[in-house]
Amino acid sequence: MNYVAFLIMRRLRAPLITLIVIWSIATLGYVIIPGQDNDGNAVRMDFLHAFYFVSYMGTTIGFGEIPYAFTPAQRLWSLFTIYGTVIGWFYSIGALVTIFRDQSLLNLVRRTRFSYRVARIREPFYLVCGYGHTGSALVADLAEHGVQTVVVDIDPQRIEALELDGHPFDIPVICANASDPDVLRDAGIEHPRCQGVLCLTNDDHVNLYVAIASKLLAPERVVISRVSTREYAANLASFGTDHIIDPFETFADYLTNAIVSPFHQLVYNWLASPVHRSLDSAHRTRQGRWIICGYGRLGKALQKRFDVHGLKSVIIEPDPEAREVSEDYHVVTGWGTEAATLLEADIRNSVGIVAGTPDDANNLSIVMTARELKPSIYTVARQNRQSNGPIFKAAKMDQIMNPSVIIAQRIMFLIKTPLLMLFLDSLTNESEEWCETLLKRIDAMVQGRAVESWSFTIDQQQAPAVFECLRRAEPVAIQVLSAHPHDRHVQLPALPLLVLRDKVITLLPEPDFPLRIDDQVLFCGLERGRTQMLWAVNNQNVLRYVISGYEGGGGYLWKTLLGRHRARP
Amino acid sequence: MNSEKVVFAFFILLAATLNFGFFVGAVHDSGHHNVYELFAALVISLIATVMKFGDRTHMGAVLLATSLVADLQLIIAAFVWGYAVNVGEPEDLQSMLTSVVSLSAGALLANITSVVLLVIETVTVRR
Repeated sequence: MNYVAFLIMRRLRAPLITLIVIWSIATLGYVIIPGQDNDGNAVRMDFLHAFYFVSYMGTTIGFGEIPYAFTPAQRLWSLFTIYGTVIGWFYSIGALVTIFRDQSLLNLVRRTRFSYRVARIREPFYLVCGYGHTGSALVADLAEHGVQTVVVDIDPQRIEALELDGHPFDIPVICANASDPDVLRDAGIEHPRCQGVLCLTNDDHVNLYVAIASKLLAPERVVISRVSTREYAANLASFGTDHIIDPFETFADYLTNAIVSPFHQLVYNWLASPVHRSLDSAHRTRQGRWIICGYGRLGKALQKRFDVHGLKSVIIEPDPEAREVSEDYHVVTGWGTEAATLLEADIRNSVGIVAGTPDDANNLSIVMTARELKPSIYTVARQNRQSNGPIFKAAKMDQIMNPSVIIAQRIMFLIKTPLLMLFLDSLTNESEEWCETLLKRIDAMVQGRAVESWSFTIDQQQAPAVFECLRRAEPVAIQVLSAHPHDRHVQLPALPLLVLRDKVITLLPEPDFPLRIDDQVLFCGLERGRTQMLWAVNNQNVLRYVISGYEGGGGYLWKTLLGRHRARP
Repeated sequence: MNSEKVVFAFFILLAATLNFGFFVGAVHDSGHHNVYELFAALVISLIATVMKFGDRTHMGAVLLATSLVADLQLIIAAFVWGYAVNVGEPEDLQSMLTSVVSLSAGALLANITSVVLLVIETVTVRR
């Protein structure tokens, strides 16, 4: 850190010593060389005059020959010193300019400004390491929701991209290696308002480094990391990384769920994605044989799940031996881009095809060929490069697997609605029938409109009215929150999904479930239900009304008047 | 052997000896004090100071401080000399030269401190 300042001082040594030496030799020369006054008497310059002359000569100001016109010997010496001092200046000034244009000095200045800006952040923020496709999408999304971020990336081009992205507020950014603990410290990992660290670099090893460093420097800080190999995932989990996101595993889960348990999947889709799908979409059967093209990370993750659920599959892989495909599977050697291979894989009797190779052109080709052979086939393609987005969209596949979108979406859920994530994760323990019942309940409530979800904690900030009530030991059942603030007999379009109390989860709490201080509650329903519910949650008078049906006046005057009025018999 | 340290030792010792050469003699007798020696002592002392720029060690920082003290004293001494010879009243010359010598005595003390520190540092080097 500070060593740059020392380095600059050290680099100043040579130019300064050069200047001192040239100046002193020149001065000494004028003192030694005898001159002449106007009467022809020999006089010598003293040090004062000599230094004065050298000073203005060396700086090329030039006041002329003082105190008397120079003798030829003095002029000869002047000739030497003029060039000597000019060279000295050039050298020193050049060295000085080099130092101030020095990249390490500029970096130091940038770094200092960055850490100063981070230290001054007053609102909660997230530290984002890696500003690639995922990082930039996430930062933009967070900025849209008014969440401050701090960005670290090693690639200067991405830093420039951030400066051009035009976010609604200033985002401190530094071009540095995120695996350096000093960088993390400057980026605010120990800052009291830092909410979490998102490790989104392309390099698993760097993510691992960042995660370890943040867990060591600030153990209570939430760490979310993307990962692309299972070894690193296990490694990250071993020291308590809070959320590990492998896009391939996540997508494989998603797709398998859609095949095996469509109702689970529909609950997920309704709550997690903004686009509403009809209840009937779950009935579209996709059970049958699937073709998996490419036995890479996606292919392996899918096959593993297909094995668990006993689904049938055919693998198309150009090099089955190198990919270590087990002998037990039905393997067709080839790319899958030509009809012959697909026919060999018996595409006419398959329900779906996954184009999961690491090459976008091949994936598109596989999907197009497959559709040609069997138009009704369910197509899933992996999109590797962000810039190919429009082409993939134009191909109108049933599903596109885009790793950076998957990671960004998942992290947004984790940050925005951690309770929703918890709810969706705990769904896996429930049966298909349970999910279907839940879906029917939700559908009856929203009637085909988009489902919203919202959550709050019963505390002084987020639910002041409920908090006040509970503090006075007046019981509040969860159903009163979903009563209409104008007419308490009308039910709001809101359904309590989950209550979290001391790490114990209660799914679909009963209507008379008594709330307690510090409970975290998750609701789903219509947007209208949310805004109306917040009335009762925040306003004591409204809450009193929905609990007891008694409409009390709010103001002090009104209360006293009312109190007197009631006191009279 | 650290050649940088050796060169620095040369300059700091030279500064001290030149300074001593200027200082030695009767305080009030200007004939005992050569102005060239003062000039040389000042130049060498400045060079020694610059050579300590950017030294991260504690000893380096202390040596920078002591040689800065010597510079300060010598610059003031040179200034007083120039003033006494060219500007001041002739009757003040004697007392001013005396103060030049005493200022250089202060610089000498700082230079001796530098030399002592240098010796200590050298002794502690094991190789």
